[in-house]
Amino acid sequence: MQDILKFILVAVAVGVIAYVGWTMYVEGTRTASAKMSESFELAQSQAHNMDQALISVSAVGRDRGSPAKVIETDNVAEITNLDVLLVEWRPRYDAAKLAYAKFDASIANAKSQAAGYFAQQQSLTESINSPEGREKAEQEDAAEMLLYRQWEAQADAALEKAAEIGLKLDDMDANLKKMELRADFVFDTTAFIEVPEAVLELNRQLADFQASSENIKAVSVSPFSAQ
Amino acid sequence: MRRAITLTVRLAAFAVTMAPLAALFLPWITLDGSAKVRTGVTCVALLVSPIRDYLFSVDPIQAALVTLGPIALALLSIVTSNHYYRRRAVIWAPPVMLAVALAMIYLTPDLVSYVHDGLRLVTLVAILLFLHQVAIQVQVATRRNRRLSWASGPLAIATGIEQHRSRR
Repeated sequence: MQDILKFILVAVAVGVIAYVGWTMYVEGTRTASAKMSESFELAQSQAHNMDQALISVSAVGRDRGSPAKVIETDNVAEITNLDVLLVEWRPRYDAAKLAYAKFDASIANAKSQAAGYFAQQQSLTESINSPEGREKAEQEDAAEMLLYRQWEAQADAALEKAAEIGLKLDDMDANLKKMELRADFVFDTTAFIEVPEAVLELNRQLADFQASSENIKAVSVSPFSAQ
Repeated sequence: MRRAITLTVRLAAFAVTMAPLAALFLPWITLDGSAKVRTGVTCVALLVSPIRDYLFSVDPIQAALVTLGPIALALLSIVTSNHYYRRRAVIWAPPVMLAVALAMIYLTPDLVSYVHDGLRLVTLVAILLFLHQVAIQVQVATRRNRRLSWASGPLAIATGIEQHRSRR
């Protein structure tokens, strides 16, 4: 009995180890285009998540029916209930900071995968002996590179705008922390008005980013979506 | 009859110790920002995937839990099975297994958007094995205590450990 159980255990353990090894081999040897495609999808998804997180944080104190209302009188206003405001603010602020970090990391990851892809393409193009064939390949590479550059520019613009909003959020957080220390307060709510406006602008940039990501996928379906 | 029940329970317990290995092939998690459902095996394969750098730059500890957690759980499963087929108690392994599984579920909120049944199954198995190990210790204690010796026999059958050797 003990020998049978030992045999079963060894067989299952060896089988699992072999399968894990095989899966890692398959994952590690995927084409550069498949890896790049996955990274681009992740970046697109994180852009969407960041957008949602920033919209959410910019809505703090402005939700209809929210108990923490910003009462505007010219530029200076009072916030009626700081505790309620903080309860709304903290999780959304943390989520927005995290979403930005994830978007930043996903863009960096997509760029590094793209660098690997284009390096491989270039070395393959250089290995073509026929001048006509090489010229055609170079033109195709240049077209893909152009699309990628457009995507990169959009990604950088969106990141820059998001970073700018992040700084405003940091300032608001610092102000709210200062307010926590005071029992009686009057708070300049200009920032509460500026952030939603900045988010609107970011939305436009993210729409461009989305479009250029889709362009890359649509125009170069074969290399970018190959598995 | 008594021996048959004990043997059945013992074999069932051995099968349960290997359940985490089988669960590696079931869906475990969905990463935030990815539509793919990851099994335990594909969680490990993230170590060589194109999004590895992304995961480790967002949070190295959470990324380590997601990618190395299944390896730790598989090793603990093998260690536990190894003790079970030798009929030896291994009180420390199930709690560690439970801790790793719970860490994968509750300490990776920045990376994981959804936890699937595979990982939940591993958690359940860890709880069952932990309770089984506790029952073994109780059985050993009752065997040594004259006033509770009446409980020793039924417990030995119920836990399938009639011939288990305790480390004590």
